[in-house]
Amino acid sequence: MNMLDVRSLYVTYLSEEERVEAVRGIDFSAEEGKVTGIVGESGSGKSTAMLAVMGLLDHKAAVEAEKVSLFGNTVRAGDNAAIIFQDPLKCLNPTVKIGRQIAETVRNRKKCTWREAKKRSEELLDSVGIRHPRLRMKQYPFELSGGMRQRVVIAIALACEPNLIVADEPTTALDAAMQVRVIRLLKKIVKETNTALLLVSHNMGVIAAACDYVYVMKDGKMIENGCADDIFYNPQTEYTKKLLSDATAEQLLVKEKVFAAQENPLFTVRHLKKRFQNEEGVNDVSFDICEGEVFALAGESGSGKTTLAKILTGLEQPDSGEVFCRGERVDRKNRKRNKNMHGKVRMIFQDPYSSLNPCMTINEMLTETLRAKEKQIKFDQKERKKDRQRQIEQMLTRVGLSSLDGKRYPRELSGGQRQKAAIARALLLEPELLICDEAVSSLDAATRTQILDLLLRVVKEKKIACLFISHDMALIRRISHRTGVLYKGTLAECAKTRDLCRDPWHPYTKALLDSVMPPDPLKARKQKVPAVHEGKSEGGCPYFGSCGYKMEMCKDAAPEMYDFEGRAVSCHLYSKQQRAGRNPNYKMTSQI
Amino acid sequence: MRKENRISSKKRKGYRDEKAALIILLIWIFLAVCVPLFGPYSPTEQNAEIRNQPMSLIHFFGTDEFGRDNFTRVWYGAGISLVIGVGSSLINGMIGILYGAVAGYRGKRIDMILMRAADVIAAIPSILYVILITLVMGPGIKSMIFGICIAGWIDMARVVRGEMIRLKETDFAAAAKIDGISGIRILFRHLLPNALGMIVVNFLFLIPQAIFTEAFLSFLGVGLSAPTASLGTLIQEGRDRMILYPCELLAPLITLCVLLVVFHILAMAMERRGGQTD
Repeated sequence: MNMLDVRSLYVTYLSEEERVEAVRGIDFSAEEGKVTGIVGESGSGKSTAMLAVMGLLDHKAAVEAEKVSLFGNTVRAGDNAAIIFQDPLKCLNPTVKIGRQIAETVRNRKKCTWREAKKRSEELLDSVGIRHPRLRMKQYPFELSGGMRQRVVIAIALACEPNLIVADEPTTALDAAMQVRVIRLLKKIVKETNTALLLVSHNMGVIAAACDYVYVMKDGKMIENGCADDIFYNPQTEYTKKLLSDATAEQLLVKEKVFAAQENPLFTVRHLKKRFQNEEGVNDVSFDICEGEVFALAGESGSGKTTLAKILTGLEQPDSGEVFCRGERVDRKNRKRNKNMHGKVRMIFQDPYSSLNPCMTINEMLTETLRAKEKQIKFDQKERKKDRQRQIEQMLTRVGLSSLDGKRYPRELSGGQRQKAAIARALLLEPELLICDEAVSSLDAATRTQILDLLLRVVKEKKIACLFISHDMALIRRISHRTGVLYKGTLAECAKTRDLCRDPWHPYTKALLDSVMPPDPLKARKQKVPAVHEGKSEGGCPYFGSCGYKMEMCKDAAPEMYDFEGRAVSCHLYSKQQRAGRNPNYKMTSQI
Repeated sequence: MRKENRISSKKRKGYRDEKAALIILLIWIFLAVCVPLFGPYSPTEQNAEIRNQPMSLIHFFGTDEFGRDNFTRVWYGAGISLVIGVGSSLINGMIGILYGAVAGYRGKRIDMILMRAADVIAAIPSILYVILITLVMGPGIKSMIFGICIAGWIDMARVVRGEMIRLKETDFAAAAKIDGISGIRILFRHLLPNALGMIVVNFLFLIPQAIFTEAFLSFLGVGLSAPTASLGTLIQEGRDRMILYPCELLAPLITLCVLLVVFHILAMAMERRGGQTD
């Protein structure tokens, strides 16, 4: 008998103006001991369906179903079913220690004393792979890393001793290496406890790695379903084929990057340092960005990418080090010099929902940007207005938005459209450096392709430099010329993307590349689980804890940046001592 | 297994409450404005022959000990209560928004100085302020408004400050900064409109608060004194004659309560909607 059985599920949102059918009559089931995946683009209704099954939707939604049963009983959240959401920060109470949060759930489930509940919590934390559980139990959520938090959420879900676990995009907010580990953990739990797992995601790689049975959902209906192998190797419907081709496109090296980057460095960064209280920041980073090139900055969260972006845009001041623009030193503190920099560096943020002001229409927002520029140049009043409108119209057309979209508020646009509006805002002042901070990470595959094409087109036409920040190596492979890999604030490696991806020199680069999840079940199952070191390192190389190639000297001294033709690596394997015995004209190759 | 349609019934009831409250408020304001202006009786004209009459068709609320028509007196007083309430709330609102916005946006030291100053001012009960001002400036509507405004803005300032602290960390605020837009413009054009919801809700709570403070103080005898009579003063006068002529107490009392309840319903409805107006 199937564990979870859902027949004819309908979810309708009724409001004064309209009737939105989010889920239109879907049937699905989940078996115990197996992972069932539901894949679909954002807006397809997958999350709504899950919340409806769990009974967590509010009174605004009308839920109707012929049958929703879990082993013959109703689904009760916290009792026989548990749910894991995307953002662990939002699920955990920030003012309560971890130990207590888990213990509360344990006590809720069965009657026992606090001591027994705490003991059970320790066991649970251990089973989800958190080391030193007793220590962690006394900590607050903000003291843990993202991956650990998600594992704590999984532990709380397990504390319910559920028959069914629903995971709604559990790994989307995590870094690549952490994603692989969490997926492995979920699979292990399913096998050991014989629960049914419903995994919802828009990421084909995650589905391929985790699921035994897959449902494809679109616009509130189930388009196709079958075993993972069938869906991935033998898709029947057009939509599934499209999803797969969008996903695999990311794995190929785009050969269209025909335009050659010129050699004049546009922006130069030398020995930048900025430390925050919680150990994050950048530590002695130096690199160049040339005109017309896309320079990717790879690294996980906490590596200092965003800090670097903030320093370049002027939102933060570095503790030490310098930034040069076309050879001239950039000094943000000096007002006069700062005016010269006005509009030269623009940024596109990760979250299209929070980077646009919800109280302004797109036109109003773009007008504000233009007004700021006009303070520099004097214009006549009437001329100004017409000129502004003309510029705004041109820009909207160029990014692919209609003039009707310009009159809309951000909440009326989709994620892709919002990101296009953000790009319009960035390009309006004719910048020289465009910084994209995870700009496409929260979009689904089809929209992502659109936005990336737009970016590449713009970079090519206007010959601006682009700093593309991401933790997704597949994306970086696709779009950039050169890549710099950041690890905990230091630049581990910096080289041409093609060379870096085919032939990584630094052990961390290799680990990053290994953790890319391909949308191919066979390959995904063979993937190695990367080692992640969660802790501080004193002195020595910052990567010492997780490095598979560590040597004695790595513990004591931090490596410098060793330059070879076109490549720079920060690893002792390439230091002078290691090269001592070789011919001075020897051409350096990968040591790993 | 069918789950029930649990939507609209709750919403429909809620809308009914709001609409009823809004209609009552409008009627109330209409009466407060028109009765003193266009009514047949004057609030001060005394006529010893018709003293202390009960409710009748000629005098809807009866007459008081001097023969003045209670209906006119109550609505005249209601008008004064409304003026004081809305007037002081507007002033409080404006001061609060400015103060809170600057404190929240600038942060650090300026924030600390401003908010500690506000804490000190808030520590003293408003009755004392009103008494002091009344002593200095003499009793009347102006001193009452002034007294309420000394500390009445602090709640609004705290709310706006909280919103500013949250909003200045957002991406769109960072984007505006990168654009080079001046801080003041970011504050008033970009950030404050996002806080409008909270501001309106808070403002709608400020009004009944101010009206009640005034009524309470007048009832105690500290606020307005004859001949200007707000609802509080009328209630106080009616209190003495409560047993013999109850309508002289009940009329202003119920009028005041209706006003306060109506404002509260509207304020809570606004809060429930998250400050979005349709």
